[in-house]
Amino acid sequence: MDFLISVVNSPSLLGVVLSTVLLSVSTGMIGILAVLGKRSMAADVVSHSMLPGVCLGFLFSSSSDIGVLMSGALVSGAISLAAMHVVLRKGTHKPEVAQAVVLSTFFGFGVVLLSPVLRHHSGEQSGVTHLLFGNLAALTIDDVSFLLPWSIAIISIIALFRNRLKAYLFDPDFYFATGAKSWPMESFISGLLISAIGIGIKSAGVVFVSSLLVLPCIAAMQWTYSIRIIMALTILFSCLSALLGVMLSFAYPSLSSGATVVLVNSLIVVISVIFRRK
Amino acid sequence: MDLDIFYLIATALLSALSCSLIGSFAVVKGNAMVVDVLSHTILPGIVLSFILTGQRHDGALFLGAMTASLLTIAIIDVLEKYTTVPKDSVNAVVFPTLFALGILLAGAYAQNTDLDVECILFGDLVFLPFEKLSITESFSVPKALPSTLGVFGLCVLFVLAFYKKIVLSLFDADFASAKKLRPGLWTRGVLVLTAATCVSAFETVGAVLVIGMAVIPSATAALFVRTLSGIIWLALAFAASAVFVGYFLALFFDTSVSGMIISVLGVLYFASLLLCRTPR
Repeated sequence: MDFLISVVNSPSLLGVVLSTVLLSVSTGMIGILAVLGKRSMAADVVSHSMLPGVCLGFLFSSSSDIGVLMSGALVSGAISLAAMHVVLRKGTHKPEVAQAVVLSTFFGFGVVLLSPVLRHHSGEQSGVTHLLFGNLAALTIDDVSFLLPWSIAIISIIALFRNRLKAYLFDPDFYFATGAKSWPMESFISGLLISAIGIGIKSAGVVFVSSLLVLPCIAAMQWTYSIRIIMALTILFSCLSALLGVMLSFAYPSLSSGATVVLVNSLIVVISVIFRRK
Repeated sequence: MDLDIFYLIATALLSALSCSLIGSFAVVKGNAMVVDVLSHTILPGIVLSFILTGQRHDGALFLGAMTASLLTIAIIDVLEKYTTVPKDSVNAVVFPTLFALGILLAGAYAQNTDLDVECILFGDLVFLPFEKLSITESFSVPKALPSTLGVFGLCVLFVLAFYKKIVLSLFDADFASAKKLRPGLWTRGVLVLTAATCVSAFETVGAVLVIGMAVIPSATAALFVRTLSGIIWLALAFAASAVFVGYFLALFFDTSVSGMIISVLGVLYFASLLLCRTPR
């Protein structure tokens, strides 16, 4: 109750709460596509692969302007997904090997670039590390004005295309039999995934953004087979974990809010796994 | 100073060799991302050992990290066997959870210690010569060298002694159990050694880059040869040459040694992938 009162009284806290909830819901929705498309760990690969792009953006522009860094991140995330595609097509590896190779190559290259970034004379390199390790508490009421239309757009796009998505994810043979091609759907899903990770990485950090994507959907899948209910439960769990997570880190300021949101999410998964009805 | 360079290359070489030896099994078996999971989930173990001992104690650190990775292996096992969590999502559930636990513990109890989460993730070989272990008064080696050597020896011995049993358990579990071999024991043995390699390597190459050392050499080798023993030998050769090339390139560009080693391996992989005809 105290929390609610202070949220209403303090606009900055309201901003953090609202934007965390919106971020969590929109990434959670896109996470459904990731999990059902067997791309759970791909999210982790893409988020790690954004490091070289962020560093290059910083080195070329010599500024920690968020737009430059973010476009670097999105470009290198997209290249990493493309590289994973090439490896899977040309190589004879299992998917996990392709993921591991791409993740480590990109991240290794990023670490190479990180040294000149940290030595950079402009003294603005803190923007780079902030972007990578994220801080939910840095979200403000301004972010809401972007995150609100973004989340609504994501939810309605996924709801709108749910039949196509269902066909593509669950019965690709049928999907191709209707004469549809794979690349529009593949690039549609990849685009959503990359943009969700790009937006998430700034506030949640490299490691935690993939769990914002994956965990709510995994928990929802324990309760039902119906995609509609999975979507509804994912939204519910995302909201719940964001709210409780921010509340926890509000009550104990030494706890980082990214980690508390992830742990509440994990707790929901554990409870769902134990009490699943399926 | 020359001796320091020798120690640095020796440690990097030993880590790379043990990583790629054990990583070959993960690559051929196809569960390569488990290395990524293990290298992240040692964090809560490290933080807990910090909190319990109140200082940086190497033995406790190793014990904590090892306990955390064994716990990780057990949790993955339980999730895969007894729940309906999709197989490819199990990793994505386990590693952020334990990593978040580590971050929380570090934030709550270890704020005033010299524990640096970023340092654990990005650990670098360059810092190696600063922490020494004196053997006699005039002779000292970097602290990380003996432990890396130990883990390397352990890996080589394990693989040499039980090669046939491991291969049989990994690739034909039914036949192995028909032979009364207990395949679960040997596959888990490989996982435990993978964990030990991650733990010994996180201080030298950094937690996130361990996966590169473990996976890229053997994935490259798998593009050229099809037998497991061929993959292992070729992977060891790739790893060793990447350590030398990477070290001198890093020196030249004045940047992270472990990052450069991984980049060299990555370039080697993608060049091989695009230029070579893969045997199928």
